[in-house]
Parts: sequence; structure tokens; C-alpha cells
Amino acid sequence: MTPDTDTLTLADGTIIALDSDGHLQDLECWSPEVAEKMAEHEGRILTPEHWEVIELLRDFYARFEMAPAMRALVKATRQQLGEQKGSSIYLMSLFPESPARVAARLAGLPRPTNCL
Amino acid sequence: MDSKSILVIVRHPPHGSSWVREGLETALVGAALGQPPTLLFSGDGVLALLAHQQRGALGQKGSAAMLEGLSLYDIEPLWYDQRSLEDRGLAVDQLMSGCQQACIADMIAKHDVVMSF
Amino acid sequence: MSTLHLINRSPFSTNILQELAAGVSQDDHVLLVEDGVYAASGTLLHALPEGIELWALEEDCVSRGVTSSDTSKMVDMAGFVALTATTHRTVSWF
Repeated sequence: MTPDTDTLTLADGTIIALDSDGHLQDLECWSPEVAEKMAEHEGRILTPEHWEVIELLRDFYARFEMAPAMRALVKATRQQLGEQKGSSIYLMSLFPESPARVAARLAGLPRPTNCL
Repeated sequence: MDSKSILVIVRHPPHGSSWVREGLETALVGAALGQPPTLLFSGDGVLALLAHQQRGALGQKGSAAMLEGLSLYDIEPLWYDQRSLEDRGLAVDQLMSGCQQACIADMIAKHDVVMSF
Repeated sequence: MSTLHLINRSPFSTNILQELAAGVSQDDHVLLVEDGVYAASGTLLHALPEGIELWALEEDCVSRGVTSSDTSKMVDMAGFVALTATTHRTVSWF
């Protein structure tokens, strides 16, 4: 392992490796605990509102085998969580910088390929 | 600035190569930039629209799951070339939902830019 | 508002010309390049509808020893570029 990659240590001592962008190296090792640790590592605190979106992303990926770019994330959020939450402003407030990218990372999805 | 209308034609079958996924990724980039292209399946490309597809034997991803998600990117309907379907002994009720009939020559003539996969 | 169609594969190992025949419109141009020039001689081009201009890229014909035919006209690289400029769109049937 190169020195500039970070790791997370779970409660049971398992070491989880991140790549240089903070994504999981092995997406299979995702668990809610891993998401909490990743968020902590990035200085974020996950509230139930964050978890709604993370769960939604995991469903999206299981169904469509792709990580949604912003536009699709907003649309899927509107469909499942309602008009009020289905806006880029709301998602931006939960996951500042780039909601599609940050939320996908925390949800253990690959990078949204078409996220510009 | 007037935006150009874009047609993405998928002409290869799914599973055997990554052409279908490449075509869909290209369509998704257009959609992410606010310009959802028209997506047309022609020739062997219509085979990507067959309902009830599964992953490959080794668990490789096909393209069917992605196709189901395209409406979230405002890429709809999924157009198919009617003649290509008939040539392969297929009918529209064997395709996934959200497909609509088209003629490839008309589709090409209607768009500014055509990308083929 | 015509289209330039590019054919770069042998029409004898694929059914690319049948596919093309369904995709062309009146006044379109078809340019054979690379292994597509093998369609220049023989009868396969007759499958295309009337009213289509047929071209074969000279450089690719010369390198393959393909001679011109009655059905298609030779065009050089500069002519190829001119065709892309005079048509509204280009479709590559690879």
C-alpha cells in the first residue's frame, strides 16, 4: 500500500483501504459502519436525512447498475423522498461540494461516470 | 447558442462487447450536460432491448439495468428500428417497456449530429 | 440537408450494406474507406436505393489494388474533406 492512501479501522479491528480520492478500494466491504467511519474521516456527521439519500443511492445502484449523476440523483430523490427534498439545493446542503460524487462515495458506489 | 440535436445509434448486440454500454455512457454525458440525446437501437442493437436479460455467466454487467434507468436522465423513449426488429423475428412485446418504433433513415435525417456505437 | 455515410469494413464479412441501405435517404453520399473499398467492385452496391452518390477513397483503393468501377467514383483525401463540409452530418457505420 502506498503511503498516501488512507485507511479506516472498524470497531472489530478490520482495516478498510481507501483510494487517493477517498473512495473504498473494495466496494464489497461497504457497511453502514464503514459509511459512518468514512464520514468521520471526511469531517462530516451523518444524520437520518443523509442516510435517506445513501439508502436511495444504494437502491439506485442495485437497480440500474450505475451511480447517478446529479440530474438523475435529483430526479430519483424527488420521486422517492418528495418534491421538497428532490432539489439540488437540498442535496447540496447535505453533501456540500458535489452531492452526486460525495454521496456515492459514502454509499460505497463507484464514481458517477458521467458526473461532470 | 442553438444547441445541436444529437442522435446516438446503438448497432451492436449487448453482452459480447462493451459497445452498448459505451453508447449509453455517451448518451448519459449528453444528458448530464443538459442535452439528452435521442437514443436509437438499430441492427443488432435492438437485441439490447430484449426483456428478461440477466447478467453474464461470470456476473458481468449487461446493459439492461442501465437502460431501465435512462428515463431518470430524460432519455426516453428507447427508439428501435422497426425493420431491424422484424429481420430478427422479434416483436415489440418481447422488448422491455418504454420502447417506441422508428425508422433509422428518418431519424438520421432529423438530427444534426449522429454518433454510432 | 444530406448525410455522408462512411463504410470502413468489408461488405462481404458483414451485412453492413443492408444496414446502410435502411439508413440512407435521397441525395446522401456514401464513401467507402479502408476495407470498405472492397465493395467498389462487384454487385453489392446495387442493393442501395437510387439517388445516392457513391464514392471510394482513392488512397485506400490504391493500397489494396482495387480499381474504380462504374458504380462508385474515386475521391482523394481533399475530396473526402470537401464531402464532410458539403453534407450536414456524417454517420460512421463501423
